[in-house]
Amino acid sequence: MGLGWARQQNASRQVGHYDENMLPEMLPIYYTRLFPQNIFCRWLTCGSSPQPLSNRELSFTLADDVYLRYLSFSDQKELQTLLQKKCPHKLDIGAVYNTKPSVGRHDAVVLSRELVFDIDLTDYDEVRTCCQEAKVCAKCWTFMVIACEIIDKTLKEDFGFQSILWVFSGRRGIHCWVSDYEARTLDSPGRGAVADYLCLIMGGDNQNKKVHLGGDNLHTSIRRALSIIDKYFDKLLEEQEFFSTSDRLEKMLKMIPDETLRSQVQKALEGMPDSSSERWKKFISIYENYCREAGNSRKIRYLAEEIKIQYCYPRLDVNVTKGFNHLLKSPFSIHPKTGKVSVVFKPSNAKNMKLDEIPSIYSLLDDSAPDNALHETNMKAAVKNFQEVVFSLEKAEAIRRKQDGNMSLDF
Amino acid sequence: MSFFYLNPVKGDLPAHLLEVILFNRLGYLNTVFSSEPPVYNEYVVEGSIYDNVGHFILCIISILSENPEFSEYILRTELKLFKRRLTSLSAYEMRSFSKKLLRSIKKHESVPAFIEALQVLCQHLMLKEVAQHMCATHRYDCVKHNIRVHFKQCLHLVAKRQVEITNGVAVIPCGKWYQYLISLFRQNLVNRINKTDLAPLKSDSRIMELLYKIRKQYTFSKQMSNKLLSKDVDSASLHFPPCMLNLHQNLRRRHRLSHTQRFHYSLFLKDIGMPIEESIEFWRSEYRLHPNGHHSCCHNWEKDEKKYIYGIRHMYGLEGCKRNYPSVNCQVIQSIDNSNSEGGCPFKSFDYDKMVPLLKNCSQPVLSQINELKSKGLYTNACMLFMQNGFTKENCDNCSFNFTPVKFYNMSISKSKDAKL
Repeated sequence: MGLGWARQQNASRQVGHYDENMLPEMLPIYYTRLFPQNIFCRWLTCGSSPQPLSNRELSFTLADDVYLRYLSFSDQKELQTLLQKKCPHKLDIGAVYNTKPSVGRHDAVVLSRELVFDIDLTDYDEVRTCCQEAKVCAKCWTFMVIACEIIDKTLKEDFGFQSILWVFSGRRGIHCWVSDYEARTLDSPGRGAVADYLCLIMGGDNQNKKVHLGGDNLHTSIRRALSIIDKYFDKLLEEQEFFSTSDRLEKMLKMIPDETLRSQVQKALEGMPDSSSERWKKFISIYENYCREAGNSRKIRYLAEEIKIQYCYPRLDVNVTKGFNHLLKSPFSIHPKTGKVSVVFKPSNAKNMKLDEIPSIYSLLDDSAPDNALHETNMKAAVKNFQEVVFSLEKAEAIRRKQDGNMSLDF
Repeated sequence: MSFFYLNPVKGDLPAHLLEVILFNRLGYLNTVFSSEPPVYNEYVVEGSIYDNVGHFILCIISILSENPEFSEYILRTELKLFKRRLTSLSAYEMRSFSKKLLRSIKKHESVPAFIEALQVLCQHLMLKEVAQHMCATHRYDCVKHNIRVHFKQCLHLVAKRQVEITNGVAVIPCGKWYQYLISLFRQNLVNRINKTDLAPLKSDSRIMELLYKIRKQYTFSKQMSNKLLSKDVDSASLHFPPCMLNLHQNLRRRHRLSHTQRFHYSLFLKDIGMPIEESIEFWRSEYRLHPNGHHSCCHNWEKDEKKYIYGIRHMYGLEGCKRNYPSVNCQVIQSIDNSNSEGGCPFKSFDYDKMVPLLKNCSQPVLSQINELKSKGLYTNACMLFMQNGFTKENCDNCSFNFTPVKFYNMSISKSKDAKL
């Protein structure tokens, strides 16, 4: 199939400048040829069981921000028809209801829903120094790498979850979908507790020190998180230069609750070269000395850890996790503003991901685009990652159903 | 019978005695609530038949009253009573308490998962050595004994990272067993109040008479019906609680609020009497202006008018699922702690120098009292103290268990009216 039109339009614009107006023409092709419909349906079928796939809410955002809620489909064919008919600019996935959502609408009861996590780089604006708001770069991606590793390990080791899907959100963040039966059927208080378990940074714009670990021994999950942060902390210090200007330094100083220590640190650090790594080292040596000399240092026992956490620990949008029926952007949906595909990635590979290598609809559908070959390869890899998670989920579901079957036979 | 109230007693009782039991229990709970030292009351002897009857009849009244505030009060005071009783048990009493509980659990064929967890706990507590260990001076961080339960059975311990979890199984050390037992009691009571269907009782004249008497005795705060106009918000803000005043000032300064905060502030305005048309007018007047300073909002009224009006109408219960959203209470405001938001409870999540400007006309002694409450974690009390501007004599104990910004506003308004008279 020729893509002459894409090439023509390509000629009239500069590389890297994408035109949102082209989406209505490109999306139907993307949905038919590249969107992994089959795996997508299998993923949602497993994730909806024992309810039928058609009880799952899908919502579309059309051109001009028109929302369509309470859509559903019962098989791949219906999905394809729906996608072609409405040509959504964005796909969101909702909860599984006790009936077809289009029938039940507001009266339908939510029965299950993947446990989801949403991490957005805008929540890091108070710590990241490279970009602000919607902008992202390779430097701030390190925050996402840390977040992904910490959350993934916690979900697996502490909660025992297996079917965990990691998705790039399309612009400046990542999503995590946990499809284990236990996670899907977790009630609202349960979701709230898991979210709180993962939240260490508390307090809003009006508070300087947002992490308080107390004086008792640290919880295993916090120690593990710190060991992950330590792997990246030097890199982040160099890239972000957290303490290099007087403004940034002041922010850090405000996190020190002990006035004597604060003024000691301030005096020493202000007279030093700008390098954040050097300043951090100096801070640590002053702090350790201070703790040794001062008798009662319980209040600042974990000060260094608290500062590290405030700068590096994942900042979850807890409302997304706590809400039972919060809509969340689907894997392989296109981000309407960037044109990027919400690709599935392996948590172990997060650190190797490069933002400009994430496939975008424009270069995927334009075989003359410079990134075309690379993006196609990466798209294939993303689909393969998706497949792997879905296959293991299907296996786990089969085992669960078999066990359920045995249980009911006992009676 | 144990004072965990797993099962109600069976048998006959004269109806007039029911009333005596009920009012004695309520009176006793009031003393528990205000932390007065326990006084002997023959109707509330722990584990007695009257105690059991009193508990269940109170639950019935609380369900039938359909008043969330009253139910919350019952829940809190019953919980406090349970805590008081539990912590005063001797080792011998602890063992018999557990044995009784185990017996009543066994009477059921199938029990909810949290009762299974209770069973595991009781099987430990009935052992002589364990009970003695628990009832001797026992440290909060003691880890001598452990029980293992699924993490779903101890969510509040999980949320605060007070237990270690491996593969979904939480290990609860004995230092936290009391806390855990209290949470199980709470869960059982919440289940009972929320999930029992008492429709048949509504035609029982004896119960309805009791309900009537309770309603007469415990009148609950009514909503004010003053209409608040968009142009009057600035002058009304003199009576706003600090959290809402903060949002108001932020909005006036930057012309934007983040999503959750906008939601909280709109609902607050709604509940202090702002009608829908005025609300639309109010938000329009701010959102048509350009956002000021650092704010990630890229919307404005002209572009997104339909969305905004839909959002506001939704909050008034006119769109979507047509649910009339109530404004949030202090507990919610204090528990939501987004790291990047302008809002929150100033007494909890603001640094001192950010909090003080929000507390107008606050003298130095009051401020230091507030600081003391703040350091103890009593944020709501700090707020109430501020509202009364140091005059703690006035009794507002009866609203402290479910304080809300709306209550603050209403009380502040009525106080200023009293002052004028």
